[in-house]
Amino acid sequence: MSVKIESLPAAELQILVDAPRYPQFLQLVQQGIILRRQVGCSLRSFLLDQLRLSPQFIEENIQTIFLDGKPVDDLDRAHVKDGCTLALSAAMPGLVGATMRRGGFYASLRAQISHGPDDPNASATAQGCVTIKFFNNVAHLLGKAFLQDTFFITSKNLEDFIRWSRPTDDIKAFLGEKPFDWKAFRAGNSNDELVRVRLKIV
Amino acid sequence: MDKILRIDMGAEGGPKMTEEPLGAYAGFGGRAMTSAVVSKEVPPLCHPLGAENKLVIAPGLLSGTIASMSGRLSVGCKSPLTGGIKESNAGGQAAQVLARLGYAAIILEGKPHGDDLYKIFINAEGVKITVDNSLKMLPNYDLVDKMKQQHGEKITCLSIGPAGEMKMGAASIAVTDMELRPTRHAGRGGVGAVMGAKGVKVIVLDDTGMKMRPPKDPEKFKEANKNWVEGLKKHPVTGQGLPAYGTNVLTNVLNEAGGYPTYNFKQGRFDGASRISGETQAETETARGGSATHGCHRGCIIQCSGTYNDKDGHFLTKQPEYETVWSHGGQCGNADLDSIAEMDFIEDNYGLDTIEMGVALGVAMEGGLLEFGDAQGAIKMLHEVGKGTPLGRILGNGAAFTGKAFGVERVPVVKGQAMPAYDPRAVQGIGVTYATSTMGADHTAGYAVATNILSVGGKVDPLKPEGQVELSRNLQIATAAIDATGMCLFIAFAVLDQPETFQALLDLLNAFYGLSLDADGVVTLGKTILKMERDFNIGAGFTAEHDRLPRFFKTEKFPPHNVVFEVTDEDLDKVYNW
Ligand code: SF4
Repeated sequence: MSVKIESLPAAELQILVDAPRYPQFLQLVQQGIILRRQVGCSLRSFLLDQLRLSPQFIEENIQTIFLDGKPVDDLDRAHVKDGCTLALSAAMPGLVGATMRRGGFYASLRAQISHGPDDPNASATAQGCVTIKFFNNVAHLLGKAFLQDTFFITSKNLEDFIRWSRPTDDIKAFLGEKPFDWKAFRAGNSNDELVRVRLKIV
Repeated sequence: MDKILRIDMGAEGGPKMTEEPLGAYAGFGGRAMTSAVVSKEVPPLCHPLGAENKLVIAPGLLSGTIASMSGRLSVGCKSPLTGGIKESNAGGQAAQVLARLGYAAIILEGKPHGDDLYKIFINAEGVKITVDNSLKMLPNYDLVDKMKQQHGEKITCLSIGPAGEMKMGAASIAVTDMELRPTRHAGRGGVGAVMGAKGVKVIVLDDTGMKMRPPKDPEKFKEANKNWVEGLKKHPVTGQGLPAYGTNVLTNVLNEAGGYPTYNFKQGRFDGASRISGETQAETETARGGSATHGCHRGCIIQCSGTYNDKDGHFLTKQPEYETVWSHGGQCGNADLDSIAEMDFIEDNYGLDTIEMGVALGVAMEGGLLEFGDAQGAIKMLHEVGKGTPLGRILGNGAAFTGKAFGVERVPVVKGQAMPAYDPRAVQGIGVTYATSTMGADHTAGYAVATNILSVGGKVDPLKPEGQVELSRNLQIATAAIDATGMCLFIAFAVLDQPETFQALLDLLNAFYGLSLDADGVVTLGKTILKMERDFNIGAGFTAEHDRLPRFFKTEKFPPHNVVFEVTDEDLDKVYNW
């Protein structure tokens, strides 16, 4: 999905959630949240400088990475571009889990879908929008911090979450200054329009 | 574990049992034992439901010991689903208990003359075989409740549900877990139908008074087990990922990779994936007072299972695993986790393989029986299977049979067995294993372990296409060897990444049996098993043409990556050249 930076909404949906209820919202980072960041750099530099992860954290916790649905082996030769989707996961079980690992011994078993090297000169550094997905232990470790910072989500994904997750009607939320009506939102027409969101864990 | 129990169900005057020493089968356990007996004693051309077929139930070499993770059970026979040899593997308590009772195998042979249904009870005092026709058509949960009333709470049951009695191709054998629930199944290949054909409804095991099996070198064994447990605990997959989320942790990852077969293998992404993912499942289980971390047998420290409660907090089923969630989820276009859990329970109760049934339902949806996503309709269909209506008997005989009945072209099976949850167009290496495995399409056949450490068949160039064939071969050899030990295949990752953990596994075997097995010995064992199985299949009429994926994998592009299966037939034919 291509997102124009100038079309990002200004009003923010603030969701006030109790700490015990917060894990329910991790489904949002599985679906993908959109972040505004500097793009046009290598994946390694994006992880370090834009997502502010330490080299040690990456090494220890992120063994499986997909860029636009393609498993990445080399963080320096894959480039993050405006509109791309980046998914981060821990090491996975099963043979197929192992094939997805970056630079793993079994990477050849999925050679047809691997992320090839990008041309390093192809994209210029600029602000852009990137869809970020956190799975499994990575969601557990990073989800809270990223959900408490501003992110964007399509109204369709938000509606999907509200409809299928455990009921959220009792959770306080404000859109700008006004109380947010979960029921009305659920009944409305959702689409690819973006909602600016921030979670406040109380 | 120094004896074999044979029961001739077709003997004059009723079933006749004999106990014998291991003889030529000494040194075999698990899959090595089942495949050795089947390949040596069963005529490959026999009818799978006939008197000449045998059902072999064998604990692994390390089952019944204090070694962690050693409680997997192998069940072997000629498969009514594939027509070839079958080893179907299950967790639960049975392997440990059977091994402690001293049995390296139970072999059911012959065919009863009437239609009586039998119960077999085994404890320290011996074996009792009785007719009990009151058990007829009981689902597994009710059956186990009845066994508890008759024999108390310290038992372990191996049983078939109505599907096994009706000899369906998707029928499983249920094994009870630590809570005495029939939640673990030797699912694949219709092994339950063979037990049904032998007229055996349930085998009740009671190991009261029996001790752990003693190792030859207790000190070394204890030390090896300590290293073994440490290795499993420190690895991120076996120490963190699997305990926290179970195998269903794969849903999001396979979906992201575009390799998650959706709407009967039409596409590689499912919109509802995050609603049925392992992460969401674990969160739901915890919020409802269930649990996301639980073992299927005592001594499991990875604990990839859990307990799934309904909305009111009552037990609904054990944590459905990845394959089950996929086959009733993405394969059927269903993103409702509660309905998936309900189907898991229904299939455990009727005694059905969850992969075969989910794929059959998806195929039936494609054939127009139901809309994709119609979870309630699918549940109704499963009850038809349990009742044995004509439609239920079609579905209960698996995906290939269902595909024929409904005129569907896209039927994802190899050798008649439904494919698991990884599309071979996205992950071509696993397609090689699906195509060439002796078992039919089976993700666990080439699952595991340490091929880089073992260096089976020399070093592989992973960038060459032949690399896929080499790797698949090596994986199949290594997996066959692990299946002989009774170890759960999920140990693979710690063993794969940590040479010292692989060594701890060898040390366990060596200290227990007084052997000096090394990596080469493991390779030889794996090759021996595969050769026996392959020879059986050749005798049963299998040729190179059976080692192929269905044609549509080569002709239909698989979105989002729009790839087809590219490994050539010539390369597939090289898998067994070693
Ligand atoms: S890891 Fe899972 S499948 Fe393996 S023994 Fe433990 S609970 Fe059973």
